Amino acid sequence: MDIAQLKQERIQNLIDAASFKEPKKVPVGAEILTWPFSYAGVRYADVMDDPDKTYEAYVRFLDDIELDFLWGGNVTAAIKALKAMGCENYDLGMDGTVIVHKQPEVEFMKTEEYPDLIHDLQTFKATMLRKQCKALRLPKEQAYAQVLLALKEIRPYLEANERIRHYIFEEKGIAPLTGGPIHFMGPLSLLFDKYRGIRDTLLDLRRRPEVVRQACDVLLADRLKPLMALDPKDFSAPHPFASTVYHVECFLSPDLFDRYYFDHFKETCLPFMEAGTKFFLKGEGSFIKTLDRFRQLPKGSIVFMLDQDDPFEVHKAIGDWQTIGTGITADLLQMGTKAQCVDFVKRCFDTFAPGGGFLFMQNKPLLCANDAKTENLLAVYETANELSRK
Amino acid sequence: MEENGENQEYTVKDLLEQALHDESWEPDAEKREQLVQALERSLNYL
Repeated sequence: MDIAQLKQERIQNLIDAASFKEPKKVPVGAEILTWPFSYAGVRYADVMDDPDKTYEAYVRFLDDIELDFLWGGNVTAAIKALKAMGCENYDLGMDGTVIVHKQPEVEFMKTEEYPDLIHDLQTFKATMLRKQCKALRLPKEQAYAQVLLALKEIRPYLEANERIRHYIFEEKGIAPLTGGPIHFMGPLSLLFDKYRGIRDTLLDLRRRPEVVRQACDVLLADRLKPLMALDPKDFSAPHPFASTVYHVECFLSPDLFDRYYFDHFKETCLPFMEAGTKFFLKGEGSFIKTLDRFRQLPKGSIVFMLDQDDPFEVHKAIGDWQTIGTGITADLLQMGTKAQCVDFVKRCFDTFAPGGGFLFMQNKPLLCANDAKTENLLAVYETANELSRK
Repeated sequence: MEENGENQEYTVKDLLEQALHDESWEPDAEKREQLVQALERSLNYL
Protein backbone atom coordinates (compact mmCIF):
# COMPACT_ATOMS: atom_id res chain seq x y z
CA MET A 1 0.00 0.00 0.00
CA ASP A 2 1.44 3.39 -0.90
CA ILE A 3 1.59 6.21 1.63
CA ALA A 4 -1.40 8.15 0.25
CA GLN A 5 -3.57 5.00 0.45
CA LEU A 6 -2.30 4.24 3.94
CA LYS A 7 -3.16 7.75 5.10
CA GLN A 8 -6.61 7.53 3.54
CA GLU A 9 -7.22 4.21 5.27
CA ARG A 10 -6.13 5.70 8.58
CA ILE A 11 -8.51 8.61 8.08
CA GLN A 12 -11.35 6.21 7.25
CA ASN A 13 -10.58 4.23 10.41
CA LEU A 14 -10.81 7.45 12.45
CA ILE A 15 -14.16 8.28 10.87
CA ASP A 16 -15.50 4.75 11.38
CA ALA A 17 -14.35 4.54 14.98
CA ALA A 18 -15.96 7.90 15.77
CA SER A 19 -19.15 6.80 13.97
CA PHE A 20 -19.60 3.61 16.02
CA LYS A 21 -18.61 1.34 13.15
CA GLU A 22 -15.86 -1.13 13.92
CA PRO A 23 -12.87 0.13 11.94
CA LYS A 24 -10.48 -2.18 10.09
CA LYS A 25 -7.96 -1.08 12.67
CA VAL A 26 -8.68 0.81 15.88
CA PRO A 27 -6.80 4.09 15.38
CA VAL A 28 -3.71 4.21 17.57
CA GLY A 29 -2.45 7.70 18.25
CA ALA A 30 -0.89 10.10 20.66
CA GLU A 31 -0.62 13.67 21.78
CA ILE A 32 3.04 14.54 21.61
CA LEU A 33 4.79 17.84 22.27
CA THR A 34 8.52 18.18 23.07
CA TRP A 35 9.18 14.63 24.34
CA PRO A 36 10.64 13.43 20.99
CA PHE A 37 13.83 15.43 21.62
CA SER A 38 14.38 13.50 24.85
CA TYR A 39 13.73 10.20 23.07
CA ALA A 40 16.43 11.14 20.54
CA GLY A 41 18.84 12.02 23.36
CA VAL A 42 18.91 15.66 22.32
CA ARG A 43 18.12 18.91 24.16
CA TYR A 44 15.92 21.25 22.14
CA ALA A 45 18.12 24.12 23.36
CA ASP A 46 21.06 22.59 21.47
CA VAL A 47 19.29 22.23 18.11
CA MET A 48 16.69 25.01 18.05
CA ASP A 49 18.73 27.29 15.76
CA ASP A 50 19.22 24.53 13.17
CA PRO A 51 16.01 23.41 11.39
CA ASP A 52 17.66 20.24 10.01
CA LYS A 53 18.88 19.08 13.41
CA THR A 54 15.56 20.00 15.06
CA TYR A 55 13.60 18.02 12.48
CA GLU A 56 15.92 14.99 12.54
CA ALA A 57 15.80 14.75 16.33
CA TYR A 58 12.05 15.31 16.55
CA VAL A 59 10.92 12.58 14.15
CA ARG A 60 13.35 9.87 15.29
CA PHE A 61 10.77 8.23 17.62
CA LEU A 62 8.67 7.33 14.60
CA ASP A 63 11.32 4.77 13.61
CA ASP A 64 10.23 2.78 16.67
CA ILE A 65 6.58 3.69 17.32
CA GLU A 66 3.77 3.14 14.82
CA LEU A 67 1.05 5.77 14.94
CA ASP A 68 -2.16 6.09 12.93
CA PHE A 69 -2.91 9.62 14.09
CA LEU A 70 -1.22 12.38 15.95
CA TRP A 71 -2.38 15.43 17.86
CA GLY A 72 0.37 17.98 18.21
CA GLY A 73 3.56 16.97 16.46
CA ASN A 74 5.37 20.27 16.42
CA VAL A 75 7.35 22.67 18.57
CA THR A 76 4.63 24.72 20.19
CA ALA A 77 6.10 28.14 20.93
CA ALA A 78 8.61 30.33 19.10
CA ILE A 79 10.44 31.19 22.30
CA LYS A 80 13.30 33.20 20.80
CA ALA A 81 11.01 35.25 18.56
CA LEU A 82 8.77 36.06 21.53
CA LYS A 83 11.79 37.04 23.59
CA ALA A 84 12.87 39.38 20.78
CA MET A 85 9.47 41.04 21.23
CA GLY A 86 10.20 41.38 24.94
CA CYS A 87 7.78 38.62 25.89
CA GLU A 88 8.83 36.22 28.63
CA ASN A 89 5.60 34.19 28.81
CA TYR A 90 7.34 31.07 27.48
CA ASP A 91 10.77 29.65 28.22
CA LEU A 92 12.72 26.43 28.13
CA GLY A 93 12.56 24.31 31.27
CA MET A 94 15.58 23.21 33.26
CA ASP A 95 16.02 20.18 31.01
CA GLY A 96 16.61 22.46 28.01
CA THR A 97 13.71 20.83 26.16
CA VAL A 98 10.28 21.37 27.70
CA ILE A 99 8.56 24.60 26.74
CA VAL A 100 7.16 26.12 29.90
CA HIS A 101 4.21 28.52 29.95
CA LYS A 102 5.17 30.77 32.85
CA GLN A 103 1.59 31.72 33.69
CA PRO A 104 2.32 32.74 37.31
CA GLU A 105 4.75 35.39 36.00
CA VAL A 106 2.55 36.74 33.20
CA GLU A 107 1.28 40.29 33.73
CA PHE A 108 -2.47 39.77 33.50
CA MET A 109 -5.24 42.37 33.66
CA LYS A 110 -6.08 44.01 36.96
CA THR A 111 -9.54 43.98 38.53
CA GLU A 112 -10.08 47.63 37.62
CA GLU A 113 -9.45 46.84 33.94
CA TYR A 114 -12.63 44.78 33.51
CA PRO A 115 -14.57 47.85 32.24
CA ASP A 116 -11.88 48.41 29.56
CA LEU A 117 -12.31 44.83 28.34
CA ILE A 118 -16.10 45.11 28.38
CA HIS A 119 -16.37 48.49 26.65
CA ASP A 120 -13.67 48.27 23.96
CA LEU A 121 -12.23 44.79 23.55
CA GLN A 122 -10.00 45.59 20.55
CA THR A 123 -8.23 48.48 22.34
CA PHE A 124 -7.99 46.34 25.46
CA LYS A 125 -6.36 43.51 23.46
CA ALA A 126 -3.75 45.94 22.11
CA THR A 127 -3.06 47.17 25.65
CA MET A 128 -2.62 43.60 26.89
CA LEU A 129 -0.24 42.82 24.03
CA ARG A 130 1.85 45.88 24.95
CA LYS A 131 1.90 44.65 28.55
CA GLN A 132 3.19 41.26 27.50
CA CYS A 133 5.61 42.42 24.76
CA LYS A 134 7.92 45.13 26.04
CA ALA A 135 9.14 45.85 22.48
CA LEU A 136 5.72 47.34 21.70
CA ARG A 137 6.28 50.05 24.31
CA LEU A 138 9.35 51.37 22.48
CA PRO A 139 9.37 54.23 19.97
CA LYS A 140 8.28 52.96 16.55
CA GLU A 141 11.76 52.66 14.97
CA GLN A 142 13.13 50.66 17.86
CA ALA A 143 10.00 48.51 18.00
CA TYR A 144 10.35 47.76 14.29
CA ALA A 145 13.99 46.72 14.81
CA GLN A 146 12.75 44.21 17.42
CA VAL A 147 10.12 42.93 14.97
CA LEU A 148 12.87 42.30 12.40
CA LEU A 149 14.90 40.46 15.05
CA ALA A 150 11.82 38.38 15.93
CA LEU A 151 11.35 37.53 12.24
CA LYS A 152 14.97 36.36 12.07
CA GLU A 153 14.46 34.23 15.18
CA ILE A 154 11.20 32.70 13.98
CA ARG A 155 12.70 31.42 10.72
CA PRO A 156 14.40 28.23 12.09
CA TYR A 157 11.32 27.51 14.24
CA LEU A 158 9.00 27.77 11.24
CA GLU A 159 11.25 25.79 8.91
CA ALA A 160 11.74 22.99 11.44
CA ASN A 161 8.00 22.71 12.09
CA GLU A 162 7.24 22.62 8.36
CA ARG A 163 9.69 19.77 7.86
CA ILE A 164 8.41 17.89 10.92
CA ARG A 165 4.79 18.16 9.82
CA HIS A 166 5.59 17.22 6.23
CA TYR A 167 7.43 14.10 7.40
CA ILE A 168 4.71 13.05 9.83
CA PHE A 169 1.64 13.74 7.72
CA GLU A 170 2.96 13.24 4.18
CA GLU A 171 5.99 10.94 4.27
CA LYS A 172 4.73 8.68 7.08
CA GLY A 173 1.06 9.02 6.13
CA ILE A 174 -0.05 9.62 9.72
CA ALA A 175 -3.51 11.16 9.89
CA PRO A 176 -3.93 14.55 11.53
CA LEU A 177 -6.67 14.41 14.14
CA THR A 178 -7.97 17.95 13.81
CA GLY A 179 -7.85 20.78 11.31
CA GLY A 180 -9.90 23.43 9.60
CA PRO A 181 -11.35 26.66 10.90
CA ILE A 182 -13.84 25.31 13.44
CA HIS A 183 -12.48 25.62 16.95
CA PHE A 184 -14.54 26.43 20.03
CA MET A 185 -13.16 27.67 23.32
CA GLY A 186 -15.48 28.67 26.14
CA PRO A 187 -15.37 32.37 27.10
CA LEU A 188 -14.35 31.73 30.70
CA SER A 189 -11.38 29.68 29.47
CA LEU A 190 -10.39 32.61 27.25
CA LEU A 191 -10.54 34.94 30.23
CA PHE A 192 -8.66 32.44 32.38
CA ASP A 193 -5.99 31.63 29.78
CA LYS A 194 -5.27 34.95 28.12
CA TYR A 195 -6.33 37.83 30.33
CA ARG A 196 -6.89 37.14 34.00
CA GLY A 197 -4.96 33.98 34.95
CA ILE A 198 -6.04 30.92 36.90
CA ARG A 199 -6.19 32.24 40.46
CA ASP A 200 -7.93 35.54 39.78
CA THR A 201 -10.50 34.12 37.35
CA LEU A 202 -11.63 31.59 39.95
CA LEU A 203 -11.71 34.27 42.66
CA ASP A 204 -13.67 36.63 40.38
CA LEU A 205 -16.32 33.98 39.81
CA ARG A 206 -17.17 34.27 43.51
CA ARG A 207 -16.40 37.93 44.22
CA ARG A 208 -17.63 39.68 41.08
CA PRO A 209 -19.74 37.18 39.08
CA GLU A 210 -21.69 39.90 37.21
CA VAL A 211 -18.59 41.53 35.78
CA VAL A 212 -17.23 38.10 34.80
CA ARG A 213 -20.48 37.38 33.00
CA GLN A 214 -20.29 40.68 31.10
CA ALA A 215 -16.64 40.09 30.15
CA CYS A 216 -17.47 36.58 28.95
CA ASP A 217 -20.33 37.88 26.81
CA VAL A 218 -17.91 40.28 25.07
CA LEU A 219 -15.18 37.66 24.64
CA LEU A 220 -17.64 35.12 23.28
CA ALA A 221 -19.16 37.51 20.75
CA ASP A 222 -15.69 38.41 19.49
CA ARG A 223 -14.55 34.80 19.32
CA LEU A 224 -17.67 33.60 17.53
CA LYS A 225 -17.55 36.17 14.72
CA PRO A 226 -15.43 34.02 12.37
CA LEU A 227 -17.40 30.87 13.24
CA MET A 228 -20.75 32.55 12.62
CA ALA A 229 -19.53 33.55 9.15
CA LEU A 230 -19.20 29.88 8.18
CA ASP A 231 -22.02 27.90 6.62
CA PRO A 232 -22.35 24.52 8.38
CA LYS A 233 -23.33 22.93 5.05
CA ASP A 234 -19.74 23.50 3.89
CA PHE A 235 -18.48 21.36 6.77
CA SER A 236 -20.21 18.05 6.23
CA ALA A 237 -16.94 16.08 5.93
CA PRO A 238 -16.36 14.18 9.18
CA HIS A 239 -12.56 14.55 8.99
CA PRO A 240 -10.42 16.38 10.01
CA PHE A 241 -12.24 16.75 13.29
CA ALA A 242 -13.13 20.23 14.49
CA SER A 243 -11.75 20.96 17.92
CA THR A 244 -12.69 22.24 21.33
CA VAL A 245 -10.76 22.29 24.57
CA TYR A 246 -11.33 22.42 28.30
CA HIS A 247 -9.17 24.61 30.52
CA VAL A 248 -11.21 26.13 33.34
CA GLU A 249 -14.18 23.82 32.78
CA CYS A 250 -13.00 21.04 35.10
CA PHE A 251 -13.04 23.51 38.03
CA LEU A 252 -16.69 24.54 37.49
CA SER A 253 -19.87 23.30 39.10
CA PRO A 254 -22.30 21.71 36.61
CA ASP A 255 -24.41 24.92 36.61
CA LEU A 256 -21.42 27.13 35.83
CA PHE A 257 -20.20 24.59 33.27
CA ASP A 258 -23.50 24.99 31.44
CA ARG A 259 -23.41 28.78 31.65
CA TYR A 260 -19.81 29.25 30.58
CA TYR A 261 -19.25 26.31 28.23
CA PHE A 262 -21.93 23.85 27.25
CA ASP A 263 -24.86 26.11 26.42
CA HIS A 264 -22.66 28.23 24.12
CA PHE A 265 -20.94 25.20 22.63
CA LYS A 266 -24.26 23.56 21.83
CA GLU A 267 -25.80 26.68 20.34
CA THR A 268 -22.77 27.44 18.18
CA CYS A 269 -21.59 24.01 17.16
CA LEU A 270 -24.76 21.88 16.94
CA PRO A 271 -25.51 23.09 13.38
CA PHE A 272 -22.05 21.91 12.31
CA MET A 273 -22.59 18.53 13.99
CA GLU A 274 -25.98 18.18 12.31
CA ALA A 275 -24.21 18.82 8.99
CA GLY A 276 -21.69 16.04 9.72
CA THR A 277 -18.78 17.66 11.57
CA LYS A 278 -17.22 15.69 14.40
CA PHE A 279 -15.46 17.46 17.29
CA PHE A 280 -12.35 16.36 19.16
CA LEU A 281 -12.64 17.56 22.75
CA LYS A 282 -9.29 17.85 24.51
CA GLY A 283 -10.31 17.26 28.09
CA GLU A 284 -8.35 18.55 31.05
CA GLY A 285 -8.88 17.42 34.61
CA SER A 286 -11.98 15.50 35.71
CA PHE A 287 -15.23 16.13 33.88
CA ILE A 288 -17.29 12.97 34.31
CA LYS A 289 -19.95 14.94 36.25
CA THR A 290 -20.92 16.89 33.12
CA LEU A 291 -20.74 14.14 30.49
CA ASP A 292 -24.50 13.58 30.48
CA ARG A 293 -24.96 16.89 28.59
CA PHE A 294 -23.33 15.38 25.52
CA ARG A 295 -26.32 13.09 25.05
CA GLN A 296 -28.12 16.23 23.83
CA LEU A 297 -25.75 16.22 20.82
CA PRO A 298 -25.92 13.80 17.88
CA LYS A 299 -24.56 10.31 18.48
CA GLY A 300 -20.94 10.05 17.33
CA SER A 301 -20.38 13.81 17.11
CA ILE A 302 -17.75 14.09 19.89
CA VAL A 303 -14.45 12.35 20.61
CA PHE A 304 -13.35 12.95 24.21
CA MET A 305 -9.69 12.85 25.13
CA LEU A 306 -9.86 11.84 28.76
CA ASP A 307 -7.52 13.13 31.43
CA GLN A 308 -8.11 12.31 35.10
CA ASP A 309 -11.38 10.40 34.86
CA ASP A 310 -11.47 6.61 35.03
CA PRO A 311 -12.07 5.57 31.40
CA PHE A 312 -14.12 2.56 32.46
CA GLU A 313 -16.52 4.81 34.40
CA VAL A 314 -16.65 7.27 31.48
CA HIS A 315 -17.44 4.41 29.13
CA LYS A 316 -20.37 3.37 31.33
CA ALA A 317 -21.58 6.99 31.43
CA ILE A 318 -21.38 7.96 27.74
CA GLY A 319 -19.58 5.23 25.80
CA ASP A 320 -22.72 4.15 23.93
CA TRP A 321 -23.22 7.70 22.58
CA GLN A 322 -19.87 9.47 22.14
CA THR A 323 -16.36 8.25 21.37
CA ILE A 324 -13.60 8.09 23.95
CA GLY A 325 -9.89 8.59 23.34
CA THR A 326 -8.03 6.70 26.04
CA GLY A 327 -5.95 3.56 26.54
CA ILE A 328 -2.99 4.28 28.80
CA THR A 329 -2.30 6.71 31.61
CA ALA A 330 0.71 8.93 32.25
CA ASP A 331 0.97 7.43 35.75
CA LEU A 332 1.43 3.93 34.38
CA LEU A 333 3.80 5.02 31.62
CA GLN A 334 5.95 6.83 34.14
CA MET A 335 5.75 4.67 37.26
CA GLY A 336 4.14 1.35 36.32
CA THR A 337 5.79 -1.87 35.27
CA LYS A 338 5.74 -3.02 31.68
CA ALA A 339 3.30 -5.79 32.65
CA GLN A 340 0.93 -3.32 34.35
CA CYS A 341 0.96 -1.10 31.26
CA VAL A 342 0.26 -3.95 28.88
CA ASP A 343 -2.54 -5.29 31.11
CA PHE A 344 -4.21 -1.86 31.16
CA VAL A 345 -4.00 -1.55 27.37
CA LYS A 346 -5.53 -5.02 26.94
CA ARG A 347 -8.34 -4.19 29.33
CA CYS A 348 -9.10 -1.00 27.39
CA PHE A 349 -9.24 -2.81 24.06
CA ASP A 350 -11.37 -5.63 25.49
CA THR A 351 -13.85 -3.13 26.95
CA PHE A 352 -13.95 -0.25 24.46
CA ALA A 353 -13.10 -1.62 21.01
CA PRO A 354 -16.18 -3.77 20.25
CA GLY A 355 -18.67 -1.76 18.22
CA GLY A 356 -16.40 1.24 17.66
CA GLY A 357 -16.45 4.48 19.64
CA PHE A 358 -12.82 4.10 20.75
CA LEU A 359 -9.51 5.71 19.75
CA PHE A 360 -6.33 4.63 21.51
CA MET A 361 -4.25 7.45 23.01
CA GLN A 362 -2.69 8.50 26.30
CA ASN A 363 -4.35 10.79 28.82
CA LYS A 364 -1.64 13.46 28.94
CA PRO A 365 0.74 14.81 26.31
CA LEU A 366 4.31 13.58 26.26
CA LEU A 367 6.50 16.55 27.15
CA CYS A 368 9.79 15.42 28.65
CA ALA A 369 12.06 12.42 29.23
CA ASN A 370 10.50 11.42 32.54
CA ASP A 371 6.95 11.39 31.21
CA ALA A 372 7.33 7.73 30.22
CA LYS A 373 9.75 4.88 30.73
CA THR A 374 10.90 4.00 27.24
CA GLU A 375 10.36 0.26 27.73
CA ASN A 376 6.78 0.94 28.89
CA LEU A 377 6.02 3.20 25.96
CA LEU A 378 7.39 0.78 23.36
CA ALA A 379 5.50 -2.14 24.90
CA VAL A 380 2.27 -0.12 25.09
CA TYR A 381 2.33 0.89 21.42
CA GLU A 382 3.39 -2.58 20.27
CA THR A 383 0.48 -4.09 22.19
CA ALA A 384 -1.99 -1.46 21.04
CA ASN A 385 -1.06 -1.87 17.39
CA GLU A 386 -1.33 -5.64 17.69
CA LEU A 387 -4.75 -5.54 19.37
CA SER A 388 -6.03 -2.80 17.06
CA ARG A 389 -5.96 -5.14 14.07
CA LYS A 390 -8.09 -7.90 15.68
CA MET B 1 15.51 46.45 26.51
CA GLU B 2 15.14 50.16 27.24
CA GLU B 3 11.52 51.16 27.72
CA ASN B 4 10.33 54.59 26.73
CA GLY B 5 6.93 54.32 28.32
CA GLU B 6 3.71 53.58 26.49
CA ASN B 7 3.71 54.51 22.84
CA GLN B 8 0.33 54.19 21.24
CA GLU B 9 1.19 55.87 17.93
CA TYR B 10 1.52 52.55 16.19
CA THR B 11 0.00 49.09 16.48
CA VAL B 12 1.63 45.71 16.06
CA LYS B 13 -0.34 45.41 12.81
CA ASP B 14 1.44 48.54 11.51
CA LEU B 15 4.82 46.99 12.26
CA LEU B 16 3.94 43.64 10.68
CA GLU B 17 2.56 45.40 7.61
CA GLN B 18 5.80 47.39 7.30
CA ALA B 19 7.83 44.17 7.53
CA LEU B 20 5.64 42.54 4.90
CA HIS B 21 6.69 45.14 2.32
CA ASP B 22 10.27 45.60 3.46
CA GLU B 23 12.62 43.76 1.08
CA SER B 24 15.71 44.63 3.11
CA TRP B 25 15.40 41.68 5.50
CA GLU B 26 14.04 39.09 3.05
CA PRO B 27 13.86 39.61 -0.72
CA ASP B 28 11.42 36.72 -1.39
CA ALA B 29 7.88 38.08 -0.97
CA GLU B 30 6.33 34.66 -0.36
CA LYS B 31 8.87 33.83 2.34
CA ARG B 32 8.35 37.26 3.91
CA GLU B 33 4.63 36.62 4.09
CA GLN B 34 5.12 33.18 5.69
CA LEU B 35 7.43 34.55 8.35
CA VAL B 36 5.27 37.57 9.11
CA GLN B 37 2.20 35.36 9.41
CA ALA B 38 4.08 32.99 11.73
CA LEU B 39 5.03 35.88 14.00
CA GLU B 40 1.48 37.22 13.92
CA ARG B 41 0.13 33.80 14.92
CA SER B 42 2.62 33.60 17.80
CA LEU B 43 1.56 37.01 19.09
CA ASN B 44 -2.14 36.27 18.66
CA TYR B 45 -1.68 33.13 20.73
CA LEU B 46 -0.48 35.10 23.77
